[in-house]
Amino acid sequence: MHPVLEFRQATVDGGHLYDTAIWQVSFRLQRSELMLVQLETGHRFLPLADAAQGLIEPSHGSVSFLGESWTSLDEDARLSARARIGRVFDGAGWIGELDMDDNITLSQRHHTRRTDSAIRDEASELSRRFSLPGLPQGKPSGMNAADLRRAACARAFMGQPELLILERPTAGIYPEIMPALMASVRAALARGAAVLWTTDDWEVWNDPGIKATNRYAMTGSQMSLLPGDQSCPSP
Amino acid sequence: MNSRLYCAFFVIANSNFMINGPALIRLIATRMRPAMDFSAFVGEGARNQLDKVLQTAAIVAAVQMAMLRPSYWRRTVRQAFARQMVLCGAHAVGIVGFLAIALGVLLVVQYQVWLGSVFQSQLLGPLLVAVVVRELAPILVNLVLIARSGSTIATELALVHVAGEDRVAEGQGLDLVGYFVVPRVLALTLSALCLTLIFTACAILSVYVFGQWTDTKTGTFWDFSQETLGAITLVDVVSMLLKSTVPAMLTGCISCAEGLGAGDRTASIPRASRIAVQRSVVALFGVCTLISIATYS
Repeated sequence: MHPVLEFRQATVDGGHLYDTAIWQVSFRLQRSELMLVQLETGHRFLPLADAAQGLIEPSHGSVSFLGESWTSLDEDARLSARARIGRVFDGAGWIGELDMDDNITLSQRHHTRRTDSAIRDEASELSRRFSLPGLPQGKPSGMNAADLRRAACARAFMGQPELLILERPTAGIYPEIMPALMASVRAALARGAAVLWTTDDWEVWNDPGIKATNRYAMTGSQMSLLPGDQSCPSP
Repeated sequence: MNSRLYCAFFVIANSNFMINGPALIRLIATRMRPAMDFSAFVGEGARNQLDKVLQTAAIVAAVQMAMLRPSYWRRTVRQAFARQMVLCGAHAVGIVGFLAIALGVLLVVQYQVWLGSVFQSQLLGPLLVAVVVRELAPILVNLVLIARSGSTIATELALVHVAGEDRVAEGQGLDLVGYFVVPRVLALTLSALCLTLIFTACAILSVYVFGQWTDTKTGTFWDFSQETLGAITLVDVVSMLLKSTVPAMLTGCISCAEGLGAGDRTASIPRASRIAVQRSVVALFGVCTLISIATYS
């Protein structure tokens, strides 16, 4: 069976969006696996998640999603594949001209034929799970950072994605978000999804509730597998 | 003998200089530098303009291909299109109506000054068609759209790019052209067509009402309508359709290209908006001139 996400000696150049590049990163993320990545202080914004979604091409090596290299897919296939990935974006992750409810339901409304009411019901349920009073309304600029992070978590789990990329999902809302987040992550792992979770918070890193399959640490542009965990060998 | 020796020495000395390749090249380069700089400046400018034209043509082609693909018209894109129709079209009805009424008044005043004392009202209809339907309606409506929507689109999309919202949309599997560009370009094009028709109708009504008010011999409303509509030919209709839609489509494509192609810093947003407006105005007058030459010459 193909891994959900696979990096093979992937080198991605840094740009203005990132604090640093990633260099010769290799790992495999199988179904029902949780990979926790410790970010270095001052190097929070990495091209790791963008490369995992095929938004940026590696200059060397390859990145594959469900066995298909992003570069081998045509544009339509790439867009469809991204619909199967849920992501908590680090930094601003919202389309400013859309209201929050439209932002949260955007991917599902775009890629599926589910009814609007079914999508909104799921979004409302997830929003309440992450301690919001319901499906948020209004523009993203009118919400505080903590509620935006909760809404980002709700959006990431919409539509039961096969890969979850959680970029510092607990930033500013740790530890109160943990019960809901871990319950959702466990449910996703149980149905066969894979989770890539990045954090720069040592409390999150050492949280006993997070049962990571693999733990990696970023040092500069390099990612290293930490000993003591069950790990897949680098290809 | 001395003069021969002197001549030989002169030739040898200058020949040595002339066959000294690097020195000669340096000399020519120094003398030619201003001309070469000027050529480079002109060439670079021409190449940049050509790049912009090709970029706009590519976006026009991509938009037209996307428009015709049903798979692009998902509910999110349809909603974005409806939102843009409201912003570009519905919100501009007021200003377009005001301009049309004001133009109608100006036409009646000028008609009275120049022709009213000499000719009867039979010329008012053809004059209205010649001035409003053929030229002014599409140009004024497009100018309004460039000022209101073209600059807004460029600014919005530049902000989208600077804030990384395009990356967010792509990350959720949305096609940038399909989601950000197609609804805006199509809404601008359809808005231009609808607003041109509204402008024409308002201008004709304005001429009639103001003409009645100032005792210009417009006749009954039925006669006036018959005269005016009767003066419209098929060529006028085709010309108006082309003049209203083609520049609007170009405005949309130029604004989207400048917006999404803006730099990565906030400081580049005003520049993107300014250039979008400038290029859209140039495209508007260029296209209208070409269409007028093609249809009426």
